[in-house]
Amino acid sequence: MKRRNVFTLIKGMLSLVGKHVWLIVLAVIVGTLGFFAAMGITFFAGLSIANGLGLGISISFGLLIALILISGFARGGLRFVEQYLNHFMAFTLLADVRNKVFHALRKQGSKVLDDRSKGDILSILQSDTESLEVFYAHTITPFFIAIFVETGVLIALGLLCGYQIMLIGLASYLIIGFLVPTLFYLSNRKLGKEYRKALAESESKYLNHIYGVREVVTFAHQEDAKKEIAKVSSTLNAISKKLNDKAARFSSITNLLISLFDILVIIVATLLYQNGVISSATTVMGYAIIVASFGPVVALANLPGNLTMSFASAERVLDIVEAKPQEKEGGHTFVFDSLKLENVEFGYNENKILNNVSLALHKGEVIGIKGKSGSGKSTLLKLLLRFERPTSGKVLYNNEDIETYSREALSSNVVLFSQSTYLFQMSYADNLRIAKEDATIEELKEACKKAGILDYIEKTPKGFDTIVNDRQDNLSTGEKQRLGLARVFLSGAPLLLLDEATSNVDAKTEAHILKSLLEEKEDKAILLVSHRDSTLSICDKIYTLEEGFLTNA
Amino acid sequence: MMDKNLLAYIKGKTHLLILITLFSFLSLVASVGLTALLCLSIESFYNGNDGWWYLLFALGCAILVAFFHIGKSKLTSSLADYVSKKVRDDTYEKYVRLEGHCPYTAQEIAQLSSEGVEQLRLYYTSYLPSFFFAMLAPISLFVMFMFFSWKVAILYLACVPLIPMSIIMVSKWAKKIFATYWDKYISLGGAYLDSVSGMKELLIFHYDKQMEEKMKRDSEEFRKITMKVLVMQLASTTIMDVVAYGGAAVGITLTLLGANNGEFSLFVALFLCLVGAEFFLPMRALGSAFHVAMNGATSGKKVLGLLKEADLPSGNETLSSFTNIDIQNLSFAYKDSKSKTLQNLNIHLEKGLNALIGETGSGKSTLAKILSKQLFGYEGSIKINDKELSSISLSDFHSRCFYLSSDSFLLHKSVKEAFLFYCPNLEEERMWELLEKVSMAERIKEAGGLDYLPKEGASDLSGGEKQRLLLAYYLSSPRDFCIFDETTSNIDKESEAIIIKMTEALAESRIVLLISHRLQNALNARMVYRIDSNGTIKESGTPSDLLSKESEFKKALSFERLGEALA
Repeated sequence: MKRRNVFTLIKGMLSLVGKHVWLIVLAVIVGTLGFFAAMGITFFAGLSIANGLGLGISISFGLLIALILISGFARGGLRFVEQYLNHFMAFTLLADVRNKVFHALRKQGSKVLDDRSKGDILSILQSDTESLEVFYAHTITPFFIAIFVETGVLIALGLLCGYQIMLIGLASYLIIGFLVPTLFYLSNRKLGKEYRKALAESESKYLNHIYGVREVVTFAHQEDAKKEIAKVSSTLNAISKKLNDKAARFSSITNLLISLFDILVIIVATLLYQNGVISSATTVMGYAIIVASFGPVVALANLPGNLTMSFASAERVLDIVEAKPQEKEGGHTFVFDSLKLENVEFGYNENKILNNVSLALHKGEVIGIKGKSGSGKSTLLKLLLRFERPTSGKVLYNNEDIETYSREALSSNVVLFSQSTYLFQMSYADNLRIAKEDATIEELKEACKKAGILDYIEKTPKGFDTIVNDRQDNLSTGEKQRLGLARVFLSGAPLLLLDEATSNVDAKTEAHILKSLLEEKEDKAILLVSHRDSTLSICDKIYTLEEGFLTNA
Repeated sequence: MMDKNLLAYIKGKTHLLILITLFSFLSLVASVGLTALLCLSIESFYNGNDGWWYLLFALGCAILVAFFHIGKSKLTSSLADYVSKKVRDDTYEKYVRLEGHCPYTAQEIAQLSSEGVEQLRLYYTSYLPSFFFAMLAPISLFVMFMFFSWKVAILYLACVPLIPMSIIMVSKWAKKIFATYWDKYISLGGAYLDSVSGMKELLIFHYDKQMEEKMKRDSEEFRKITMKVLVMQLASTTIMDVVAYGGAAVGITLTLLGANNGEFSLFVALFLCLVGAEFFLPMRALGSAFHVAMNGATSGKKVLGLLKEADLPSGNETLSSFTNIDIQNLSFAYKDSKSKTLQNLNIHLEKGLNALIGETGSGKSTLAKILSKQLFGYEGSIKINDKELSSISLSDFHSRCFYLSSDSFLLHKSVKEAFLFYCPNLEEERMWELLEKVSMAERIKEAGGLDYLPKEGASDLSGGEKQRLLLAYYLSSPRDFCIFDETTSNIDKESEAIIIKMTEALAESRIVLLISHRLQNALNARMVYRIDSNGTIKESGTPSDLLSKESEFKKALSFERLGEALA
C-alpha cells in the first residue's frame, strides 16, 4: 500500500472532483457574498454609529438601515445556495466513490475476501465514504471563501483604518485560519487514524459475535462475549474521548485568540487615536469590522476535528480505488471444444499444491477426479477459471493458452460449481438469473427440475419469488446446493466444473442430478470432483489426485 | 421535540445534562461580560477616560469563557462515553439473551451499534443540552437587555419563538425523510455486503458487471434521498437564518434609531448591536442539532424497541437427569408458512445413536432445531425424562445439549483460543488428540500449530476442513444430548468413517441424534426414524428390523450402494 502524505492525499481526493469543479467556483462566489452579507449587519451598524461620531462618510441613515436589513435577510438565501452546491457536489462524488470502490473490488476478482474481512469492506463502502463528505462539502469551498472574504476585509481595514489595524487583521487570520488548524491537524492525525482502525476492528469483532451467537449461547460464554464487546467499546471510547478533549482545547484556544485580537485592536486603535493618527469614529469602525470578520477563519479552525477522520477514511478508500487490478486478460474469444493441462505445477518447494499435472478433456466427455479435501482439487479448478495462475506448465483451451482469452470468453464457456454456494438476498428467481439474465420462468423451472429442487420451490408459498434472508437460514445446505446446481444448468456453459456437487443430498436426489448431467453430456464436457464413488459413477474416466499428484484410478 | 423514553434511558446521568447546560450558561454570561467590557473600554477611551482596567477584566472574562468551554466539553465527553457504552453493551446483551432471535437482521444490529450509537450519542450530548440551553439563554439575555432598553429586549425575545416554530413545521416532513434515509442506508450496506460476499459467484457466472450496474443504481438512489434530507435541512436552517439574522438586523435598527435620537450612550448602542445575535444563536444551534437528533431518535427507538423485545420463552425447571426424550404428536409450522413442516410426529430417543433420515427438505433440521431450543412454539409434547421441553430453562438446557450442523459458525479465533472457548482448561495434549481424531492435526501443524488463526469467514479453509475443525471443538465439550445435523456431508470417505465411529463412541453414554442423508451412516444406530416429505414418521425401527422387511429404508440403502458400486 502506498504511503501518503497530506498533500498526495488531498491531491488524490481532489482528482476525484473532475468535472464538478465549476460547482466549487460557483459555491465560492455565492458563499463569499453570503459572508459579506453576514458581516454587513455589523459593518453597517458600526458605520451608522461611527457616522454619528463624525466619521464623515456621506451616507444617509435611512440607506444604512436599509442595507442592514437587506444584509440580514440576504444572508439566509445566499447560504442556502452555497450549501446546496457544496453538498450536491459532495454527494454526487460520494456516489461516484462508492461505484469506483465496488468496481475496484470486482476487478480484484475472487480474491477480494482473501485480503480483507467483510466488515472492513463494508465500513469502507459505508462510513469511510460517508466521512469524505467533510472534505468535499465543508473544506474546499470554505478554504477559498476564507481567502476571498478576509482579503476583502483587509482591504477595507486598510482603506478605513490604516495599515496598523490591517496588519493586526492579517496576523489574526493567519493564526486562527492557518496556524491553529495546522497544529490541530498535526496533533490529531495519529489519533484520527487510530480511531478509524479501532472502529473498523470493532465492527468486525461485533459481526463475529453476532454471527457466532449460537456458539456463545450453547457454550455459556454470554458473560465473556459481553465483556469482549464492552472492551471493544471502551477502547473506542478512550480514543474518542481523547479526540473530543483535543477538539475542545483547540476551539477554546481559537475563542481565546479571537478575544485577544479584539482587545489588541482596541488597544492599538486607542493608542493611534490618542496620538492623533486616527479619529474616534475610525476606532469604532475598526473594532466593528474585526469583530464581525472571524466567521470564515473560525470555520477553518474547527475543521481538523472531522477532517482528520475524513483523511484517514480517504486513505483507506484511495488504497482500494487506486489499486491496480490483478487480472491481466487477453482479448480472444472461443467456443469450448477441448481443455488440456500440460505439466501444470502450483506452489513452491515444500508447499507444492500441484505436481506436474497433465489432463485432457473433450466435448462429450465426463471426467472424474477423486481426492480428499486438501489434495489440491480446489486449486486445480481455480486454475481452469484463471482465478489462480500456474507457477509452471500450461492450461490450454482449444489448444490455445488460457492467457490469450478474455475474462468474458472464459466465463461464458466455463462454469464452476463450488462447495459453498452463495445465495444473494434476492428472490430465488433472481438468484438463478445471475447465470442467465433473461431466462424465462420455463427455463428456470427446467433448470431446477434438473437440479432436483423444483418440487421444493413450488411447495414454498411464494415459489420463485421467495426471498433468501440475510443469514440464508431459511434454506438447508442441501437446498442451497441444489439451487447452486440449478444455476449451473441454467448457464448453458459448455464446460462444467463440479466440485462435490451432490455432497449434501440423499442418494435418490443424487441419482436424479447425475441423470440430468448425463443428458447434457453430448454437447458438453463435465469435470466432476468428488470423494464419493457414487458421484463419480457416471464418469468415462476417473483420476485420483493425491498430495498434488494426478494418477489414473 | 423530546422523547421521554430516550430521556429515561439515561436515568442516573441526568445530572450531567444539567451541568452541561449550566456550563453553557456560565460561558454565555462570561462572553456577554467580555463584549460589555470591550464596549465600555471603547466608550471610556472615546470620552477621554482611562479604559485599560476594562480591558484587563475583559481578558479575565475571555479566560473564563475558555475555562467553561473546556469544562463543558469534559462533561459532554463523559456523558458521550456513558451513552455509547451503554447502548453497545445493552444491545449486545439483549441480542445474546434473545439468542439471535431478533426483529433486525445481523447487519442492522451491527450498524445500530456503530453508526446508530454515534447518532444517539449526538442526541444526548448535543441535542438535549442545546434544547435546555436554548430555553435558558434568550430569557437571561432578555433580563440583561431590560436594563438598557425594554423595547429592544422585547423585540428580540419576540423573534426567538419563530425558530422553534419553524423547526416544528418541518419536523413532520423531516421525520419521514429521515426514516427513509436510514432504511436506504441500511439496505445499501446490506446490498454491498451481499454482493461482495457472493463475488465469486458473480465472477463465475459473469454477472459482476450487471451487479455493478445494480449497485450504481442503488448508490444513486441513496444519493437522491441524501439530497432530499439535505434540502430539507437547508430549508429549515435558511428559515432559521432569516429569523436569526433578520431579527438581529431589526433589533440593531431599533437600537440605532434610539442611538440616533440620543437615547443610548455609545456603550449601550455598541453592546446592543453586538450581543443581539446571541438571542438567536442557541435556538439556531438547537435547530441544527435537531436534524442530527432526528437520526439519533430513530436509532434510539430501534435500540429501545430491541430492548423491549420479549425474552425467549424459557421455563425455570432444571433437569436432574437427561436419559431419554419422548416426542408425542409433535406438529410445527413456520410463521410465514401455510403448511405444517412437521405433523403428528412420534419419536422416542434414548441413550445411544439415534438416526433421523429422510429426503432433503422433509423437516429433519426443523425437528433438530426444535429439540435444541432454537425454534419455539411447537404443538404436542416433548418430554425429557418426564419434563416438558418448554418448561426447562434455556441455560440449563444449553448446558446439556449441543447442535452442530454444516451451517455452524466458525468463530474468528486461533485454534487454541477456540478450544478454550468450547472447553475452558483443556490441555494442549488433548487438543492435538481431538485434532488427530478429525484428521486435522497435520493441517493445523502445517498452518502454524495451535496459534493458527484462520482468516475471517474461514476463507483459507475448505468446507470440509472447517467442518472437521468445528467437530473437534464440539467434541471437546460433549453433552448429554448431541445433535449432528449433516456434519459429515463435506468430508471425504475416510474421515467420514472415522467421524461416524466417533459419534458412535460418543453415543455409548449419551443421547446422540444423527441426521444424515447417507443411510450408510445409520447402520449402527440403535433406532432409525425415517421422516417423509409430509413431516411425519413413516418408518422406524432398528436397522436390522428395517432391513429384514421390504422397507423404504432398505430400498433407499440398496440404491445408495448401487450408486457406489457402479463407480
